[in-house]
Amino acid sequence: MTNGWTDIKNADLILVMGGNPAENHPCGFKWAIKARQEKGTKIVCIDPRFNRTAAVSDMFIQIRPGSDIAFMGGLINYIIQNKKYNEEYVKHFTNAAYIVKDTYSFDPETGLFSGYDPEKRKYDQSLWGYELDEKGQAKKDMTLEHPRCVFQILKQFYSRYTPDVVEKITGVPKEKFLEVAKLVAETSAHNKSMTHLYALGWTHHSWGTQVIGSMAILQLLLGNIGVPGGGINALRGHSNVQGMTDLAGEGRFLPGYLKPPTAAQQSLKDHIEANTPKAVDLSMNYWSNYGKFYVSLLKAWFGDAATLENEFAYNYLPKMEKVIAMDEILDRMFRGKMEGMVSVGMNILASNPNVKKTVDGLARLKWMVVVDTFETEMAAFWKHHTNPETIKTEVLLLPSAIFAEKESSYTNSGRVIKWKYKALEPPGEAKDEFWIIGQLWMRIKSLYQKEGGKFPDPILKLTWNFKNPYYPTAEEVLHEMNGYALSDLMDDKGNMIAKAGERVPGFAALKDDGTTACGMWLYSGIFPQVGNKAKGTDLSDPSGLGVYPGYGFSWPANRRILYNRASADPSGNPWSPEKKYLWWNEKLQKWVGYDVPDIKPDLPPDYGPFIMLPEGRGRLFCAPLVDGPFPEHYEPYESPIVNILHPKTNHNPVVKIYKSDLDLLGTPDKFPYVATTYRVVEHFHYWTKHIYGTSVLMGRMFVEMPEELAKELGIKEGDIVKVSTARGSIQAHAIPTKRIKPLMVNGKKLYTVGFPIHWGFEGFIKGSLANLTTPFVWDPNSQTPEYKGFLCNIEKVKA
Amino acid sequence: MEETKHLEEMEIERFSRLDRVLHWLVAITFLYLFLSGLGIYSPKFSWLLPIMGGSEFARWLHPWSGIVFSIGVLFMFLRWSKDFLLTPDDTVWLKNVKFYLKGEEEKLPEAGKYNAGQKIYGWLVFIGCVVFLVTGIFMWFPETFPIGVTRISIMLHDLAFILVGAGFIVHVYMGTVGVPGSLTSMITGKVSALWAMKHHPKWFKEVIRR
Amino acid sequence: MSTVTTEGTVGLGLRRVSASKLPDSGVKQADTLCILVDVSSCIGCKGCEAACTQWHDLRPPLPTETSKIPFMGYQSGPGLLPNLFMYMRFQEGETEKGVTWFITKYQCMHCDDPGCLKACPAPGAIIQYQNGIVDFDHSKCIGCKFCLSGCPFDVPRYDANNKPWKCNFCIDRVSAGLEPACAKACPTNALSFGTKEEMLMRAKKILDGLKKRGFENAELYDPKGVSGTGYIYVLPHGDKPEMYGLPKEASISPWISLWKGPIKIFGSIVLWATILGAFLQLILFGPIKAGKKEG
Repeated sequence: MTNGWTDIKNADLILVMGGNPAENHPCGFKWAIKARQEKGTKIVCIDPRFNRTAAVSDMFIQIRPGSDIAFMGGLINYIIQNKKYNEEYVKHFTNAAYIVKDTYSFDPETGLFSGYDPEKRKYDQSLWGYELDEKGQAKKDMTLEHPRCVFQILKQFYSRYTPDVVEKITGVPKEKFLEVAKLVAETSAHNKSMTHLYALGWTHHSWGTQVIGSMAILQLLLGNIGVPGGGINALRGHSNVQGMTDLAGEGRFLPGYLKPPTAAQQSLKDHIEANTPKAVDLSMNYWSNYGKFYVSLLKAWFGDAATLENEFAYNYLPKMEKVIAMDEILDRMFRGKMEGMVSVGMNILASNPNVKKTVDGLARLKWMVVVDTFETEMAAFWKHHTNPETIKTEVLLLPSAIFAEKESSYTNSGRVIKWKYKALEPPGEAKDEFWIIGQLWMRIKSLYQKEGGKFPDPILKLTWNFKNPYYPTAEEVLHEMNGYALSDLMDDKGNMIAKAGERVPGFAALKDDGTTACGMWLYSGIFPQVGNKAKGTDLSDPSGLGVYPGYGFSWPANRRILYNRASADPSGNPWSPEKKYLWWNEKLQKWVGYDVPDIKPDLPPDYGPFIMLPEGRGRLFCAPLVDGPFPEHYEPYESPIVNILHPKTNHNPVVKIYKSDLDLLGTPDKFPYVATTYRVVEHFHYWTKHIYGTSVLMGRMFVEMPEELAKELGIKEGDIVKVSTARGSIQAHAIPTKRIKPLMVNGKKLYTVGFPIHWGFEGFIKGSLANLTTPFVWDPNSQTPEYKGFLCNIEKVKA
Repeated sequence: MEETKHLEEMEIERFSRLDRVLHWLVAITFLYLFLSGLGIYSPKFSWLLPIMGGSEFARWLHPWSGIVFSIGVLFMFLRWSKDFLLTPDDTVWLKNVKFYLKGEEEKLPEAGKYNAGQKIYGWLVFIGCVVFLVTGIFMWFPETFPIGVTRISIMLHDLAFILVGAGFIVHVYMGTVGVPGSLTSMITGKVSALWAMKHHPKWFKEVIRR
Repeated sequence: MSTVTTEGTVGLGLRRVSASKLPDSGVKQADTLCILVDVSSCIGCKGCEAACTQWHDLRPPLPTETSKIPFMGYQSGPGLLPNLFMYMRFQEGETEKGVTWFITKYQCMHCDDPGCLKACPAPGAIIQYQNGIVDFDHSKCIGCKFCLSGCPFDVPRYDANNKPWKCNFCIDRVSAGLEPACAKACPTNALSFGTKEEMLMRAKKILDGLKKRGFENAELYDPKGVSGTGYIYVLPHGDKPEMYGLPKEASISPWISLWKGPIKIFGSIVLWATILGAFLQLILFGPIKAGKKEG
């Protein structure tokens, strides 16, 4: 989230699209309800089905799954055509004025950007950059009239998304679309803001990153980023999934979104150079500090073994050929290219598409360690195999403690890190992960000590400074994450920042000379020498804007709203008294306000507010995305209609196609209905079905379908129906509903059906694994599977 | 006088063994139903329930007694109902019931085995039993039936209780203090010829004729 | 009529006691408590349902594939059970606003004039505290199930011993100064807890907001037929309470009132008059003896 949960109450319009916060984030959704109760904020819900968020929304729009970019494109077009954008914001805070290189182009006929290589299914992204002047600065046209300035090509690009086109693609009647567009446009006023709430309804697409990009464009045009009640707010799927992402729970990153070395970057210098961008405009360009964070990370990991001479033990890090994400892991496993797997707190079988492929893959492992609270489907995957007696995989299930049985922290969607305490002892032999990993590590280390091995140094020299190395404490880990001084640290004026051995006050103190160690720069400042700020429970909110600066710690540097410098106009004055948040104090020559400024406090207002970008400006045109600098509507990989914009490029052309026997795609003649999967409030993933109380609340799996379809198929509520796709099928109870209507999409009547994911073959309540049906297709930027919008057929099994 | 004495000593069988068993089966269950029902019906009599075996037990036994009572009444109906058929004489009898109360039975049409009052009480019990049974079942299982049915049932059960209860009071009074000799007849089954001639002359004549 | 002197089970003042004289309300006084259910803010998350079963240590049956519990869509089951004191109702419908999902919390309403208490024949088995909470005392209950007939909302459910169970407004929590478990768990403040007066004021504010948002039929559900309730509902579609599973006109059944009123008087008169009549016959005319005339 750019803005955090508590800020939702400042919004004037809450647009829920690609999420279902009432069901999946009920506690956070209270701020949306509060906004409406206290200031009459409107809630607009756009979703393939009328869900529990829709039930409390002021307006519900039913959209065809997989057509969101078309809807967003329509909104962008409406805003530009009707001049409803915040012009000053767009000029000064976005890259609208930047001139794009003439090698960039987009062909609306083929639906391809310039530089596409059909063999590799890749774009040459270097064709899409800005035109730079001799000083390496981006060329700009502040009148926004240059034909190759971002604003003009944006305007031209989205001019194709007229309300009629939107209706044809999305199934949303033109009038309805215009009603939403009008509401959205109103929030470009300086005293209004719109917040956008989304979750997996947007990420679960073969163009998931792009659709979020389309919202970034819209919000930048409206001037809603960085202001109270604005922003793009990703509602994360688990209580601590934000923490997981921050701490590099995925292969693309090291902690704090630093990059793992690639094969081409054999020296630290190469790596840092490749990842330290050069400012192309007046920008803080915060990633220019990349080297400081990287070296501090290496010092935290390898301590004394990391020296200036050995490039801080950079050679200890593996160099990767390419990003190994979940799609690749599953495919390699399926192809028998993996020996073993350690899974901590995840259910790889239930949570990934095309369960059959995963089962086959797991059966090809030699061993698998599952650290979990319950015997999950993953641990018991053999029950789902056709010939369990042939499986040789050795499964080791380590019972682990549940959240309330261990002390540690959560990082919520709003980036607030909050400490939690142990409430009770884990039952039986269950142990918390600190114990499990401590034990595992010390045993591995002693094996390396005894037996040597090919390259034992990274193992033997890893820092493991815990009082009890077999059982580190959460606060000891936080100490390392916060970072500490290895020698006395002084600031420019010679004042002591931290003595050797003391924790640093924040990431600004980090150095690239080996005098600081920091395991997670982004969290630095959470545990200064005075104490653990995540433990803060201060509920005071002096500004009344829901900032709560003393409650937990919000990364980075306890900032609650990211890019908050944009809450003031280019000259540094608040856009309006209602949205006053951070402003330039002429007398003090400083940024002051209710929050920690998301800019160097004494940096004058002409510096861009988007400090993490070399432009310092928000990107309407975003060259680093692998599938195009502008979000374009592509059909989901299984789609009931041909892309009406460009039939030649029906789907996202950059998506990797896996070609195993099980990676099947269906066609609308056999699978005429559009399906989507989702979650219900009663359950948490595949977990709560192991708990009696929550199992009772929603015991049986179901399939929701329009009443009209149910009537056609002779299906009544409670009947068992079979939903089949090219991959497999599930059985569940039917719920014919008024809440999903047939849609008219490009003149064709279309039915949407949906079913929740939470069931499986373990736990108190049992049901089909939803992912038996879902396609093995992944977003090329984030490697997220396309769970929303695939094709299926439905038959009645029994009444 | 001689004759009177003779009649006093002469015994006539009024109730067979089976009749008596039936009567007392119904009587005892009804007494339990009456007292426990009274305790449930009126908080002023809730003190009765502990005497009936405890409040909860009495409430529990009440419907089961009702079942036994109903079975008894069913047999009673099969055996006695033809004797309870009302005749034109009974109408006259009822119109002049005040003579009966004053003990001037000779001013009334001659009664058969049962006089009109007894017959009416009999029908009250038969009809009352049906009402008790049907409404009682609804009240016993209120979750199984539409709640409106149970609500009406409670009221009808009550009304039946009031009417049958009043009849019961009269019956007990008549059977004991009101008409001496009646109680003995239900215990031994026998009445004196004098009693029969006096209270049920028509029946007496029939018995003698036989 | 007897007078129950114990103050229920938790020492709170009493307002009404089943089959007993009205307690002297002059001694202990308390504000009437109330939970306001703002249906327009309710997201149907069942947090209240989970909190309720957890606080009261209930274990309602699991609706598995093999169980006989009918499939009820989004509902956890068909309704209240002796071990389920509240549940969320889900009902779809069409209104002038288009498709509407009527989602309502359902439990004992804690009527100001409780039909269960009126119907209860066992002294002290149903009590209404000064704060308006209606509670059962199983030690005094005789298991007659009349409370179900008395209830306009079809609430009490009976266990194997015929003892009734229902929401008791978390009287244990409330008397210790805590809010009821459901209100505590509600994430969106759709449930708020306070005095009836406060809740009526809050409801008015919410209603004003709803009217401004175009819900012209929005109304407060606080049925007069039972002199108001301890759970009051803000219904966005107040003209259709039955879509929320709430009876349009909630009042104690006239049959129950008839039974507890006129018929009771009639019965007393009839029965006492009969006894009196028999007695009069005895003293005025004496027994009807077989040999009376001759004597």
